[in-house]
Amino acid sequence: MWKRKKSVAPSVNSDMMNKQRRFEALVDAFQTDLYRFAYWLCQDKAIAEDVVQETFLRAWKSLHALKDEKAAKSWLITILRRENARRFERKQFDLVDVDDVVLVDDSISHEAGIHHREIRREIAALSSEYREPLVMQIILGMSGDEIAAELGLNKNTVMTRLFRARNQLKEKLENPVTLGGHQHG
Amino acid sequence: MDDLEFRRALYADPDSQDSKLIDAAKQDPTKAQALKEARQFNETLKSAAKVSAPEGLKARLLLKQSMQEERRQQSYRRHTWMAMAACFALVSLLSFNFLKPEPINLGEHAISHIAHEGVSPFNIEQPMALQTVNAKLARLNSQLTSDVSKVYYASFCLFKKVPSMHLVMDAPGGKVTVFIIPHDEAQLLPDHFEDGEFKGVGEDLGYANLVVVGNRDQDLTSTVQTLSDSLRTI
Repeated sequence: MWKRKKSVAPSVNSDMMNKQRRFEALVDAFQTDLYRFAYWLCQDKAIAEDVVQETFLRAWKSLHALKDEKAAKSWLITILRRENARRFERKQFDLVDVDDVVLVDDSISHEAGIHHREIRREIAALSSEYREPLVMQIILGMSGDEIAAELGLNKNTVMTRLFRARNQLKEKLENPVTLGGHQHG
Repeated sequence: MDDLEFRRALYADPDSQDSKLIDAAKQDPTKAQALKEARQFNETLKSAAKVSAPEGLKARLLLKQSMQEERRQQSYRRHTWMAMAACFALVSLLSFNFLKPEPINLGEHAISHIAHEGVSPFNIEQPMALQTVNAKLARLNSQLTSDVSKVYYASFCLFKKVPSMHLVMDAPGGKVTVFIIPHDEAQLLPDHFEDGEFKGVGEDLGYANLVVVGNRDQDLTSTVQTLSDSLRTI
């Protein structure tokens, strides 16, 4: 019922099919982790999806530059962080209040859910210099050296930030200050 | 490894297999306990940080990429005649349209845009959350106030340099394409328009133009009514 006005390319060459397969493999392997990483960077579901969309579009355009599949993850993470930074240059998105967003997640409930929600709120409340390396470690499984390389910091700085991030989380979760806060432990 | 050193290393990376850390835990039951607790806490952190990815993400990623690729191929194929066309366009612009630009017919542009994009936006089966659609609409200072029909696709497109919203949504008689185009000087909004395949309706919302396009035999009246009731400027 939908007729194309332009004729389709005469032959789809095998290079193009290979490229398409590689791309779909990348999407399969990394879309969820990258979405989670983007979510923790910008803390808004819709913006996180936009950032992931832009990341994969950029990856498609320069897929030829990815020579070693083992480097794919860090390559994509570098692209994603750059796309996220461009968002601020363009000032295209409005920032959303952190508390509003973190409360929105409805995918979990009951005891574990309440606990998860508190943890998410505290992760969201960490300053980004602590949150970003922490999320790189726990979501993306990156080592201290890899995080240091990606963030352009030395490893000791990264390890100190990871230590402080966990220390802050542990203190806040063990001593909730909000009235009516749920007690644990 | 003293206590402070141990705690710093442990909190920096509870899953570390570093032999100094493991040995210290083996020699001291308090440290062994701390190691166990830190690893448990880390597992809890990991599972809490795993927010669920939106459904249909993969389909939308692949769709975007295929559209991008199509555009690239078309622009490559047209490259040669585009150069010539650009010359003619420049001449005609200088000679005829220099003072007053030709208004864009939103109906014609909508139909050629749909023909250009092909069937991909119609093949998405997974509806989008209203919240996600509104997050995009917010960039046009617009918003859907209530749950209208299911929206499957929401993307930005250009109507003669005016960034506009392109939606695909359910409607009586099959999915329709909806464009929300912010007002601009040289725009011509027809009430009704059609070609061999498509039929469309235009409506001025006051702050933007609404264009709904369906197939030739589709009745679009109720869809236009619902949309103009639930679209608001913010």
